[in-house]
Amino acid sequence: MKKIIFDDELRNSLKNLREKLGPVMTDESKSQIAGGACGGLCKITCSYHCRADILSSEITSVEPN
Amino acid sequence: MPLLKFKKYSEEESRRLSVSIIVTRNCNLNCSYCYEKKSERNNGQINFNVVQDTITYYMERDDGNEKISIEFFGGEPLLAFPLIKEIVEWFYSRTWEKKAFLGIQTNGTLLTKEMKEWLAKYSKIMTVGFSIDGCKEAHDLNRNNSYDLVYPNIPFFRKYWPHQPAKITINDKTIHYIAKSVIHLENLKLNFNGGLVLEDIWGYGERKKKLLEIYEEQLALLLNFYEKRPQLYPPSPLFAQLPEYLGRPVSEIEQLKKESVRFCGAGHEMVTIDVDGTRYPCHRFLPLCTGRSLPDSPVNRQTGWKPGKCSGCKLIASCPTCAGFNYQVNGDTAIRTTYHCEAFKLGVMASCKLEALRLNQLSESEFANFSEEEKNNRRRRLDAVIDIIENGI
Repeated sequence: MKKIIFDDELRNSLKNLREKLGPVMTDESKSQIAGGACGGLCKITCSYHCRADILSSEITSVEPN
Repeated sequence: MPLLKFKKYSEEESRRLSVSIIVTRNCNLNCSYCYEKKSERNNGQINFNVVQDTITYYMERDDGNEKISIEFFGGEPLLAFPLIKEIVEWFYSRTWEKKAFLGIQTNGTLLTKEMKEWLAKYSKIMTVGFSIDGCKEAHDLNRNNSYDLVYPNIPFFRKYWPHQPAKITINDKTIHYIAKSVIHLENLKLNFNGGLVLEDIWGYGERKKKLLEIYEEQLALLLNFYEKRPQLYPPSPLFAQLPEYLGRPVSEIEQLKKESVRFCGAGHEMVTIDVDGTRYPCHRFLPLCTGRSLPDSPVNRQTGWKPGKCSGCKLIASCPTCAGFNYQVNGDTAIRTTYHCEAFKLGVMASCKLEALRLNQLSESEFANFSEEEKNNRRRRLDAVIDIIENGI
């Protein structure tokens, strides 16, 4: 059976990469939490976020007459 | 190498008012996971005058919302197609100060030539979303063998609303079809989203263990698929959103959790009108769905984190919850249902693994060319991944 596994090679590689990238320079974390909390699941149970993609990307330039 | 991408909703977008109108409770399907109660379905359709009054009220009300989205919902809304047509044509026959967007959420089985011509005519000012549960086997198991009715209409939806995600819903009957279903929808070049239902499909003991094993295996299969196709983004929340605050000190996470927004707009930026004109915080609060009357207490004021096991969880701010379903099961919008807890964590682990694989291919020279914002984004994502790998969830 296939499992989701993180082997030692991947772990070590990620840690090495992280060291090379240096520290986070600014605090963006608040906006990261505030947005997108639904992760999409609400698309199953309601339409609140469901339209957001299309509203923001396609239709906002069209005015109702 | 693109990372996992999830839609972020800006403050401006969240100020938009969403008005859902149940044009009919009737439906031609009887999907096995549907949260609407069959016995309540056959109550006719909403009156045109009620819709006119409702729309006029929200369009003319001075409530700070410059944008309104109006969604025709059901039941199956296209069973009331003549009514929808009448409403939309009335709506666009007059001028409104607010900007409005219209939408229909359909099961995609009833489209006629006449409907398609009319919908195409309005396609720039009205979106139509449809449901498809993946491969034919999975779709037919839960959606009344309707795959062959939906499939011929996919090119129509894809042509006119390429950005509108199709909805895929998974339950215990179709869990072993997840990988096949997702790959099928990718091959159809559909934009889609969705995942497991929040209901208790898991049970307990051996049954739960077995279902979770199947789920993990399906996610692992999809990991393999998406790893080889870096241009594709896996659907959320099947691959759960990886909170980028995970690498932060616990004290900061606690503060951020307190400041995080409500999970959804029920009762605030959302309203649903039932066929009799009664208003509800959202579709999921209809007695048709909950079997309860409206709560006396203020709806969807999630000021606390309940139950206890959620308050200590680092995924609290990104774990899906539904105020209406919480109310149905627990009698309180703020007391979360937790049936999906273990599965959601598996989704986070899958997301984490894919993110790790993609980040791991990042070269120093590629990183050096990023903007500061992109650099921080990579750093923070890597922090989150390492935090999960090292400390678990």
